[in-house]
Amino acid sequence: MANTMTKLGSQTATAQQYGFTFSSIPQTYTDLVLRISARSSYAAVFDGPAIFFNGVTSGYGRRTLGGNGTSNYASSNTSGSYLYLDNSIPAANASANVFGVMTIYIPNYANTSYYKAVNCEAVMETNGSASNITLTAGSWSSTSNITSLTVYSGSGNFVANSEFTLYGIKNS
Amino acid sequence: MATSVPQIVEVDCSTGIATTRDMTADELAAQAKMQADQAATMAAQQAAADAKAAAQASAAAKLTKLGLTADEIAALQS
Repeated sequence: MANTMTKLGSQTATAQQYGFTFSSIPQTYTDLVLRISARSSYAAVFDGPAIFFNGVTSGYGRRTLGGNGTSNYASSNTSGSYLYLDNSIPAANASANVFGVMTIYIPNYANTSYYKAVNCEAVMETNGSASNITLTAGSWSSTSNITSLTVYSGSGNFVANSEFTLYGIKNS
Repeated sequence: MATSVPQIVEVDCSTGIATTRDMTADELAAQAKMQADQAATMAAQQAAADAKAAAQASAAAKLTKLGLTADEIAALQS
C-alpha cells in the first residue's frame, strides 16, 4: 500500500491545448498516477484522449468498458499506436462547464523486465444528461522503463482550465 | 507567411519547468493517425447505436400489434 505520493509536475491549460508531455520522469518511485480534470472542444458529447510513453507509438492494447445509466458498451484494440481512452472526457456537446475526472495508474513504471500495465478510471456527470463512467485496462508491450508520458486530447483540444498532475508513488 | 505548427506543452519533471514547443514530426503523425482512428471509431459506434434504435423501434411496433402495452414493451427492452 502506497504511503507516499509526490507531485512530479502539473499543468493547467490557459487556452485550448492539444497535448501535454511530462518528461524526465524520475525513476525513483514505485508507481505513477496521472490525475486529469478535462474537457474537449470536439463537436460531440465525448472525446477520447490518448496517452503514449517515451514518444513510442506502437505496442499499445486496451479494453474499455463503459456505462451511461441507460446502456453499457465495450470497445478494444490491440497493437495500437497509442493507448486510447474511449469516451472518457466530456466534449463540446456535453452540458456547458462540465469537466470529466480521470485517474491513470501505472504500476512499476521503472521496471525493465516486463511489459507495462495501465488502469484508467474516468467519470463525468452532467446533472441530467450524458453521465458516463469508463474503465480502461491498458497495456504497453515494452520492457522499457517509462521516462516520459504524453497525453493527447483526441479529436479536439483540451479546453482552458483542464488540469493535469503527475504523481510519483512509493510503497516504502 | 509561415505555416503554424501545432504546439504541445512539455513539463520537465526534473525541474518543474513547462515549455510550449512545436510538435515534432512523429507527434504530428501520431496526432493525425489518432484523429483518423477516432473518427472511424465514433462513426462505427454511432452506426451501431442507430441500428439498435431502429431494431428496437421495429420490435416495439410488432409487439404493439400483438397486443402488448407500452409499459410491457419498455420492460422487455430495458
